[in-house]
Amino acid sequence: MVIEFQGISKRYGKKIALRDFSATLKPGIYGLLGANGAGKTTLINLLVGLLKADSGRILVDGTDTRTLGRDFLSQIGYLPQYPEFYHDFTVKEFLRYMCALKGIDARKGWRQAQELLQAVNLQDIEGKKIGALSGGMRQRLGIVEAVLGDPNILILDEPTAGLDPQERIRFRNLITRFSKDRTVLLATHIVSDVEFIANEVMILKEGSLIRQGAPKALEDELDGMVWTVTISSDTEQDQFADVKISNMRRDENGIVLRLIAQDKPHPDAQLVRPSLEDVFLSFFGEAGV
Amino acid sequence: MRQLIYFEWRKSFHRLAVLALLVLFTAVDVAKIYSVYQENSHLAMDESWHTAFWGLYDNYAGEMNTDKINSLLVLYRPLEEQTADLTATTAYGIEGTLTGNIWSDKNLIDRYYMKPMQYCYTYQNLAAQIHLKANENVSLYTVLNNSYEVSKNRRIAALYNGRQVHDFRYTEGWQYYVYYDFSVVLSLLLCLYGLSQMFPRERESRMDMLLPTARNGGRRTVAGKLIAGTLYIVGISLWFSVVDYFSFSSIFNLWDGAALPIYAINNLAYASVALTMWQYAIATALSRALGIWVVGMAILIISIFCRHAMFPIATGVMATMLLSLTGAKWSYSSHTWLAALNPYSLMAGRLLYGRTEFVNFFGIPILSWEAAVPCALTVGLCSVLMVFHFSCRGNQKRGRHS
Repeated sequence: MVIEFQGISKRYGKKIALRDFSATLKPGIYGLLGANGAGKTTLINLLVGLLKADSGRILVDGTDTRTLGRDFLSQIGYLPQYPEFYHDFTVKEFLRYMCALKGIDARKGWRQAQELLQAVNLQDIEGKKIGALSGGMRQRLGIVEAVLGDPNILILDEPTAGLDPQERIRFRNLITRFSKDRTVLLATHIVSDVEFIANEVMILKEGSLIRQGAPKALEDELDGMVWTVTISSDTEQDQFADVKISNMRRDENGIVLRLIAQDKPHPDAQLVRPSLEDVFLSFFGEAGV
Repeated sequence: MRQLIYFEWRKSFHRLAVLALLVLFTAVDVAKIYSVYQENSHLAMDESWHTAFWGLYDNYAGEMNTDKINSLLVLYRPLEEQTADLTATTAYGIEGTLTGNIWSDKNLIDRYYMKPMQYCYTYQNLAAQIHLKANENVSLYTVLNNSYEVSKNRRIAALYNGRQVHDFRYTEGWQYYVYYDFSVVLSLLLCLYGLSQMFPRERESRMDMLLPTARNGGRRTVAGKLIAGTLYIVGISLWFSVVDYFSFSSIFNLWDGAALPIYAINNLAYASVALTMWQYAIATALSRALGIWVVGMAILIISIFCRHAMFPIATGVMATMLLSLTGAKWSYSSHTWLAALNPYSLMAGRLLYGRTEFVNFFGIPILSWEAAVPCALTVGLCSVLMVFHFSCRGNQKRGRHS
């Protein structure tokens, strides 16, 4: 399945949420990176039909999504931001409800749900109320409901928000597992969510697509521009007021700074391999912070 | 679709809080009916009256005939004479009396036998008079070329033609039953509590983002909500109607009067329907359900725009108070159309069925309940369409996230 965005624009009053967005998505994992307010959720909502674009169109295998109707919704698995679900439903009830919502045969759907619960290691909690689940368990339940029905397109909006590192890693691995023969669109402002699993990353800034490419390719663009240097005190930091600081760490020698700069920012600075976080910061970070 | 309806029911109504409220309200309702009996019926207040009344009842209950009337008069006339000059003894424990006191005997028979039986026996004269007068009006208005009045009086004549009450039964309880509106408030509150959460809950759980992206999450889900909501309203209002009927019947001992026509109750002498008591109970149960349904659909519209259930609940409670106040006010005024359109008139059935009142529908006289029912259905169906419209439009607006 190929998804094509052609010149999608959307505004809310005077604010431009998306500006002439164009991209082609084939099966694989696509990270949609951007700060809060960049337009990620707007793009997702346009894709799933919650919003109508002011201009442009979205094609799925060459057909405009506006003409596909309810059949298109069967192709989508969607996990929205901060899902709460129904706290007084048990896991089993909720998944049966999702089967009814998705128009999946009840018996077949529940069989698939059980397999998915097994896959995400939630097989023992089907009788538990959703309100009693931890955030990580609820997110895993979310991915089960999103994958229910074998959709070709999986859309995850900030799926790791609020999760601890272990849960985040577990969730990343699940996404990779479920991405086989699917197009996964993962919207996030947490770089590590996509750094290790995405086939391609799209960076949105103020509604515009500013970069698109494989993580390695984006990192290569910054090659020769990322440095580390150790300073002895906080006051020395002032000399880097015009430079973006990607990371600061204290060790026994002082403060180790990771900087993004075209030219060598300090005589003792050493070049390092750029990371995707450096790429993100090069577009969104403020100098001296 | 069945599954969707089940889950909508499960979401909003299959909850411990709703069940607890239902049990509590049912208990309160029964307690209230019992208090109506205790506070208003002399048979409850005075044990001797209770014993005396039911001791005599089998002698006079059933089809009225001359023998029964004469037998009652034989019992009553001496008491009437004894108490005529107001000098009869007021002592208790007098031998040969029913209640131990002459005045008490006289008042008991007068209140519970003489007056009701006299009313039932002579009702046919009242009905015949109305029928005759209506026919005279037909002739008069024909000459005056007033087609509306001609039609109206023709209907009145037909309604009252041949009306009579054959049987004498104990009807005191029916009197209070017909005027009992407390359970309407309980039904409304319980319905509001359940309905007001239907849409806000989707927002609170953030399912409002997920539902429109599912194949059956749009209009089908809304349809599921409406059907589940309607079933809930009908279920709750019928439940309380059944509780009322059986509670009044048990507490007041009204079982054998259910086949009486409703105009056997003197406050319903001018009833616009020729139904028996049990038929009237069914008719008012259904019209109550319809009235509550109309209010419920309006509350659903409001709840679509609310993040939390408190606002629709508060609005519903205020609307209930307003409707009941205006309903009572308009029903005793000349604003018959307003009374007919007020959903409260449907909930308190006697306001529509208890009087022969007409509204002018483009020159055609229709009884107030005949106007109220289709108006309520129309308003309710319009509300249903608005629920669909606003809930789908809301999905578009909710898509606006940064």
